[in-house]
Amino acid sequence: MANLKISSLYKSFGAENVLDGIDLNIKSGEFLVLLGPSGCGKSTLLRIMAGLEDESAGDIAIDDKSIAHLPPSKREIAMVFQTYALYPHLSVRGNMELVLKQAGYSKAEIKERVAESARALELDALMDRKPSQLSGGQRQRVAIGRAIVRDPKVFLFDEPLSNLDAALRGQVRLEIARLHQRLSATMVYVTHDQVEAMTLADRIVVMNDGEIQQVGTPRDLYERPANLFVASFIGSPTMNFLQLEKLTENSAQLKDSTQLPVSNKASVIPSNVMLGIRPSHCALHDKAGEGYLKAEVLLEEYLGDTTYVHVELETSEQMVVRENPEIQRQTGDEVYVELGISGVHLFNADTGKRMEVSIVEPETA
Amino acid sequence: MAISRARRNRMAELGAHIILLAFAVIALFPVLLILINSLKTKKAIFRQPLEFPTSETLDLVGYTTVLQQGNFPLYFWNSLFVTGASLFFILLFGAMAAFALSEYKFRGNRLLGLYMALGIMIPIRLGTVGILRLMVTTDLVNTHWALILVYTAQGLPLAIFILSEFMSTVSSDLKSAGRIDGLSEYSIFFRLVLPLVRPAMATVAVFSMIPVWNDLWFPLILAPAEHTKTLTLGAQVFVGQFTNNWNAILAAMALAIIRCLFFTRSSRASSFGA
Ligand SMILES: Nc1ncnc2c1ncn2[C@@H]1O[C@H](COP(=O)(O)OP(=O)(O)OP(=O)(O)O)[C@@H](O)[C@H]1O
Ligand SMILES: [Mg+2]
Repeated sequence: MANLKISSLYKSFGAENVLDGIDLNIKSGEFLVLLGPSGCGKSTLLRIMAGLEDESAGDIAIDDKSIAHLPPSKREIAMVFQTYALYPHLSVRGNMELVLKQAGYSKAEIKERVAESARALELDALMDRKPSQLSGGQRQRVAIGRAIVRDPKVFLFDEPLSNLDAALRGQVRLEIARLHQRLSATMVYVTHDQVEAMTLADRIVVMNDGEIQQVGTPRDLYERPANLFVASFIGSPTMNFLQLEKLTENSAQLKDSTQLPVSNKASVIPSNVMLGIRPSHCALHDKAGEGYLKAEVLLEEYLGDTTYVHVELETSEQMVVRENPEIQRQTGDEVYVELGISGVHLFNADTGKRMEVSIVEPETA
Repeated sequence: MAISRARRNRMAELGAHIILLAFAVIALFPVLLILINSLKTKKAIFRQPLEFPTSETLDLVGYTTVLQQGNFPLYFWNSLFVTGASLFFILLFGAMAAFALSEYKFRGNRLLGLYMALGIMIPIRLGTVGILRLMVTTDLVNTHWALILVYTAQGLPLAIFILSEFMSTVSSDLKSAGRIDGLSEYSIFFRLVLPLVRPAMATVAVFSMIPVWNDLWFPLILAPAEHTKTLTLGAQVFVGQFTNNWNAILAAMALAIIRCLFFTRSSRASSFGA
């Protein structure tokens, strides 16, 4: 167990800045997920933590001791790779023993540690097989086993589930969650799958273009996204965005001049404001009503337990609304969209930043 | 349906085998000719070149000449030693250079790779005079090392070119895992990467071996002494200006072929092992 601190870390490949000033404080025993679109620098950050890549500037410390100058094997970290990276010519046992042999442990201790990890991951029956004789899920379990035998201070995972099929992914994900509970070790986990991130993480770091967008618990990110990028990246289907015509101290006016009772505390009200609302905070009605937006049904996605209805507003902005699957709608139907005021987010469209809002409920207002 | 498909497959298989067998016969025919004629009298070689030796035409004079005149077992050993050692160094240094070029980023990496590749296009014989001078000043003329050094230099460019292509396909995650587990760069090279490029190594070995084993030029120039003569050079004794001692030439060729078969078998074994 150890805490990991990254301070003003920069990395560039030639002229390209891949990491642009990363500051991160990972608490002891925390499960931290790095989440972001492809190419945003997640793997690069992880590889720098592991010492496989040199940082251009900045520092990394474990338990307040800088490890930036240490080679990978001296950093007391273990890494699990997307491609498993098992040594093909060694048996499962050989794969797990190698790191201990390199570190100079005694035969007895190697045996004991390997047996213990094997038991924990239910690998006993596979110990003498070669990696080529294992299924994908088994290989990844071996890779995890290879990581835990060394009893590292920090575990690093780089998209460990991406090469597995959907069913196995769920299973191995559960295993990783259990592992974290049992070892209560510090873990850093890279993924671009939000379900993995939301289910596993104590905290999620959302990255884009080499910069951290927001750090927070899954709930924080979902309920209070710090900017437009996080708002649109987290949640599926993504949040709906509507351009505001005008924002005043206690109301927001949409393009079709619908007024919403939203108040904000900004000292200077920006001219260009974006309203965000998730599909689950909207509702469809057949008849017009106070604050409803007139719309036309474009498409209905039936998923069994819910239906997502895609609609187009009169302002030709499109929205997705979650609806009870029992209601069926036809393309071209006229509907009225109600925006649940409690689910409204406001963003400064110029800077992308979130604006603090409070809802002026009609009854209390 | 299933049966007819199986039958069709069998027919296709048979056809393929017939074609392959025909090709093998064509390719092996000259070899067979050499082998049977090396066992015949000179007259029989020219009168009935296609016949197997009979009790009348059987004559081992070729082999006795070869084994008596000139020290063929020694030539043999020389060829074997020079080829083996050259091959060893070509593979060792070729693989190491290929690893460095494909794995590490350093200034001039691309340029160095290009420089190595140039060696494939420029024949080493163009530098014979320089090489000879070098060997004379370093006192290496008429030693095995003169040949081994030249052949290593000759084989390296192609080896580096082919092997660096293969090395760059080895998973970088695997090397990263090795580094995290505390393997040194040498261990990563010898224990992780080399076993994975073994098939490529076997290919390079075969491609590098043949020109070295057959070479006449450098043995003639750099090591013509009796104690360093290679088989190819030794066999030249029987190629006269006006008359050729066909019995001896055929016998020498037959011996060389038998030798080559051994070589190919061992290199094939290593590529199957991968
Ligand atoms: N060795 C390298 N040389 C040059 N550029 C690199 C190198 N490694 C990564 N990059 C660049 O750095 C950027 C970030 O790469 P990185 O692998 O960290 O992305 P990622 O967030 O892990 O993406 P993914 O989700 O696809 O794995 C990419 O634009 C990539 O092209
Ligand atoms: Mg990646």
